[in-house]
Amino acid sequence: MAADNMTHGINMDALGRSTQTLKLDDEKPCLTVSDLNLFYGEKHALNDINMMIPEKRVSAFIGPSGCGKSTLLRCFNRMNDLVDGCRIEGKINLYEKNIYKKNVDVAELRTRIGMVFQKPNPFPKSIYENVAYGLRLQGVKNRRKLDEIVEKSLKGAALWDEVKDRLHDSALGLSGGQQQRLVIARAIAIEPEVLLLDEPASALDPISTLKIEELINELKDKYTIVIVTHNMQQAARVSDYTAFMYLGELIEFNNTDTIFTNPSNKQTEDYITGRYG
Amino acid sequence: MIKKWIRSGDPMIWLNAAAVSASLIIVLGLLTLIAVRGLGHFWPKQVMEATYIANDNQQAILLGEIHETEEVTLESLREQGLDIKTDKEFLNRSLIKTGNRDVTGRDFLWAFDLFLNKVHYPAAAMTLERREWGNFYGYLQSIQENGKQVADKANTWQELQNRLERTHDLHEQIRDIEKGDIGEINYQIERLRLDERRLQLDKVTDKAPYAKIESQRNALQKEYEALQVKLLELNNQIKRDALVATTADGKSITIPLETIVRSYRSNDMNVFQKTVLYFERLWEFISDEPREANTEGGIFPAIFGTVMMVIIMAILVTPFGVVAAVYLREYAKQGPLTRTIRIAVNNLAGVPSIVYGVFGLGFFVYFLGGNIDRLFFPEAAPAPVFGTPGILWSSLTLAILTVPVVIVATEEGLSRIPRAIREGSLALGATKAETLWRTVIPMATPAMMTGLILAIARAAGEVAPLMLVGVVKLAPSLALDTNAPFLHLERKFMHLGFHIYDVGFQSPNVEAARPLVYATALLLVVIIVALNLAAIYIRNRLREKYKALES
Repeated sequence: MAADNMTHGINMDALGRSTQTLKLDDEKPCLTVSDLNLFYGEKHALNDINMMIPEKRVSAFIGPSGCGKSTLLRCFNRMNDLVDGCRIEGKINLYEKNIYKKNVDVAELRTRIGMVFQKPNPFPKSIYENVAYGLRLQGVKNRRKLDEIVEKSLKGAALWDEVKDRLHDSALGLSGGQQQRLVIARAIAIEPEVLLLDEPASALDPISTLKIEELINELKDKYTIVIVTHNMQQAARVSDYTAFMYLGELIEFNNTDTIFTNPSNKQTEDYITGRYG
Repeated sequence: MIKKWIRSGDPMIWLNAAAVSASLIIVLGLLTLIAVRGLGHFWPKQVMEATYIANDNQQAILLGEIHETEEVTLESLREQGLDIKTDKEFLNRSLIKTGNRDVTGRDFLWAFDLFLNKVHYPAAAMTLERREWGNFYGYLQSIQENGKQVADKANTWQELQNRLERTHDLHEQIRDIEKGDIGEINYQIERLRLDERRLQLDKVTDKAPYAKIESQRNALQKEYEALQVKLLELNNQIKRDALVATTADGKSITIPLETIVRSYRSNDMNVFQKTVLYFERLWEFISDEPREANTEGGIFPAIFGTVMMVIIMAILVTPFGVVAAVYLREYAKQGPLTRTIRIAVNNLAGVPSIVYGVFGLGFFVYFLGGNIDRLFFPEAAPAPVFGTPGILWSSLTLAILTVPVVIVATEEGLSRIPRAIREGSLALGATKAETLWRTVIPMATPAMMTGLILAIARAAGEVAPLMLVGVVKLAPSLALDTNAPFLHLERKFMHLGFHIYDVGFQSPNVEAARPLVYATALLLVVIIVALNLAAIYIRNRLREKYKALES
């Protein structure tokens, strides 16, 4: 089986782990998607999605461009609300509660479900203020507490050593990889339960990518992580579970080893082996 | 060949370059013209004496400064009915400032150079700048103290300078008392009167408050009388000295020193002394108040009024325009209605400014001001407080005039903030409003500053609407002074642009005022440039702060 992987150019053991033993049915659900349909105007972008994202695991969404994986990810923290003409049916439960219920406080929801975007988007403020942004929104004013959390978050994002001497310099002076880790630090500073990563390494060089991947591996003990990637090796390296999506439909969702080595669906296999996408 | 040349694009490049050069030349030429004419005015000119022998052999002695010389054709003079016996086809004639309006009834005269004989520049020729009647040109004879002659011939000039200094000191003191102390007392007495009137209108029957006002008034009255005595004393002192001078044709006149601003003999001065005098006169122009129907003295109140009006306008227009733009861009549903509003806003910028003036007069001054007076200042009736043109209404009118510029610039800035930044903030649990105020609007500040710069440039040069809503030829007091509440937004003010119009076209002495028109124009340009540079500096600092993210 290992040899099989190599022929697909996938090195499952890059991070020295295997997900073979994981079973989706044994996991505690964190996010539960049921009968989710999403329309952009007339376009039916997500079609009857049903899935369960397990708690404190890394779940990856893969699939060809335009398959709806980012759209699905953005449903989890209701980022799609901002898009004109976007309509959503069905429900997504964060633990027991439907996040699409009428009286849900979206801002509060987003403090529980953090998100990191494809391109690093630090604010034009100092490194310190970037990390403290979410805390200040919550009204934290105590300087000592802020210092503490900023340090903890930057350490958590493996950035502390590189920036500790210039916390009050502009964040825009950092390199792309550093900026992306800063954005992750910013997201974990408010201690969300779920981290959504939307192709977090696609704009970065290989070394920065590796750092981000190591970081994801460290973070999964504390957070439920959902990552969208178009890089299959990356999905294989970092995730416990992988979902394959195609044309707005969830084709298959299983533990990563199974998806990459023994997919139950023909389309998944075609995609994994590089026949299209 | 030609076809190839055209295809190469060279003619277009030449045409573009020519257009740029033409604009540059026009701007530089304009600036040079007003700079030379305006700044040259303060340089002490030589005083010429000449015997003028006209056609009919009448003789007159002229003493004065040559202001300008022009060439005229004999032909045109003949047509005007002037018959000049000469065989030249072109004649030069000069505008000579002879001053002495109190003696001759005029300041300037045109003289044909042909008729000027024995032109020389006597070292003893003296120029007196006076508080009234304009300049005096003549020869100093003697100095009188209380009508009796003092000082011998040899050091009369030095004696004059010493006594002038004393007179200036006294004049300064009198001014301080009249404008400062007495002005303050008058202001307070007026406020007491208004307080009393308000009590009457409120039908207060209690005697105590009236008595209190009365006692305060008496105290002020006493203070005023004390000052009056002091003022009388100073006025007597200042009248002590006078000088006797003769005009070019020998008439002797006595001039009290209190009417003299400055005396000098420019023919006897070296370049260094002239430079000192030049800067003295330039400083007077910038820092002093106007006199003689604005044709002499300085223009400080106009500078002050212009700058203050623009600053108040900026303070009013920025929040207003920004808030409107934020709504239009961030909250309003983008559709036909917002598009229409946007077009309307853009068109507002093209409405002739006088229309805004009429609107300001009707709405702000009469309606708003009138109602404010009725509600808050009934005691001042029938005299209006805000129901009359003033600096606040001028600033407001100009704020409306310039608000489209700020809205358009701010909207532009808001639309350029990357979506990623907004999403980043929202993803951290910020509401839309928090995202706006903490991230988006700070990042759009450079664009707002650009709008403000354009607004300032437009407002500082606007005159027409101001003539209806607040500008006057001569404002008795500045809108900012030491009398509480310090800022008097209801007051009328002077403005450089209007000053140019007034001095240039409404002046009783146009020839004397013309250099001042140039100097004032130059100052207006300098002030607009300075205001703009300040705003550009701030914008660049902000841009530096929020740069990047534009990849």
